[in-house]
Amino acid sequence: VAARPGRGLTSARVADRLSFVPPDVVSYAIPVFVALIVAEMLYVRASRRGAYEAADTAASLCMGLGNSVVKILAGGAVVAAYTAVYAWRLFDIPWAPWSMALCFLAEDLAYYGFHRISHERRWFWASHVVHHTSQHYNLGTALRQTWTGNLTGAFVFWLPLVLIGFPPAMVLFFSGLSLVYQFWIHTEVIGRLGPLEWLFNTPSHHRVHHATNPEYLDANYAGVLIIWDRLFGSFVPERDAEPPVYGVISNLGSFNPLRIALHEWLGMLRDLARARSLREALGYAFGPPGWSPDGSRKTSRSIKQAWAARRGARALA
Amino acid sequence: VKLPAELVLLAGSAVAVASLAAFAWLLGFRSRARIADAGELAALVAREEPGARIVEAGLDAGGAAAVAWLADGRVFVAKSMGSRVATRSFPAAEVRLRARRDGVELRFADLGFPAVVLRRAPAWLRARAAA
Repeated sequence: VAARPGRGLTSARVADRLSFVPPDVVSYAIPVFVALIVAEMLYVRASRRGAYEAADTAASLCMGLGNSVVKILAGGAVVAAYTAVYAWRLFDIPWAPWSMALCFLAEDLAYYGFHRISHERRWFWASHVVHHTSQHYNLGTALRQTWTGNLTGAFVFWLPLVLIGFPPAMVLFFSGLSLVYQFWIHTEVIGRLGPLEWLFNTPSHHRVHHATNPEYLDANYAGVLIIWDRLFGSFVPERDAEPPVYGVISNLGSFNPLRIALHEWLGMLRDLARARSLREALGYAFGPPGWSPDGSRKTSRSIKQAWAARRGARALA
Repeated sequence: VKLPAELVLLAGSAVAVASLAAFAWLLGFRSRARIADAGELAALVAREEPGARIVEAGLDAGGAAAVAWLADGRVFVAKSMGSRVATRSFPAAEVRLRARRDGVELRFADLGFPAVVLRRAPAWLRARAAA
């Protein structure tokens, strides 16, 4: 698709504006991540607020390192997919303040969609579960990242942005910026932040997201702006009377990075091998995490229903 | 041209990972949760499997793990994971037992929950493993 210059813009200048390559913000942020983790460890040691566990931290950081390796090995394929879709773009959107503001909002919405589906459909959960497998919640947990996400299609959630016409580099830039933003909210040492809680995803909101308490399940999927959860009905505030319990419903019995990275995928494969019909196979792969033909396993919905029933029974008593 | 820079970044990250883990260890973040007695195991079962009834229970000699056969045919396992405890319930048919000199090993069909060994396991568990 040829660039369509607007008033005052030559084709060459439009091409320049479309092909600008921004800095890799995640790489630049790594030293800051390390420094902040050290600072948080010292603070936790001194104040006893929050918690760290050496083996858990080592596992989280190994997952982050593996994620970086996969990005180097497979990142080219993702960029190629972006570029291929970009060839069919609907508009030529240049690098400009207005387009960057729009892209920031669109990327944050795309992240919300990706993140929500990653919790609601086992195919995507099998990758995303990695990030939730720590029973601790600290800055180290932020780096506990999937090795299989982009290999199994997570990048498709951002393709509509490229199809609209946002340059791939701009989408990748804001995607990286979102990841960097989300680092600092993985902490127990920061309480609530007043009016900022209305607009932004904060440590308080994200603690709820990482909690396994029934009333906190499947909530607060936001990346940077919490407005999407408020708009789409998935917002749940943190309550002092209900301290978050971190981890997953079926906590892992291992700090081994390979087990952390692959356990849900192998569980899915085992289920698929046992499936007796196409419906069962689809349910195991694309149903909610915990789905089973006879409903004997726990899902978020069944856990919430059981919790609501127990609460109702207690209220009646 | 870009690869060396990425390799340098990876090598630096690997050093940072090792350093941070060592720093956490040096700061004393290495406590071990213990399942001290049958009461603690019962509390875990009550929290994770509300309404479940324990038929038989056994604890590892050092408190690193515990197991309970539930009345509904499932096996509840608890395992120390650093300062936390990880728990899981499996259908009894999916749990493989193996008698060892120092106790009983339980294996599960779940990559996320590797084998658990109960040292000085109770007689009922050794009998199940031998069966």
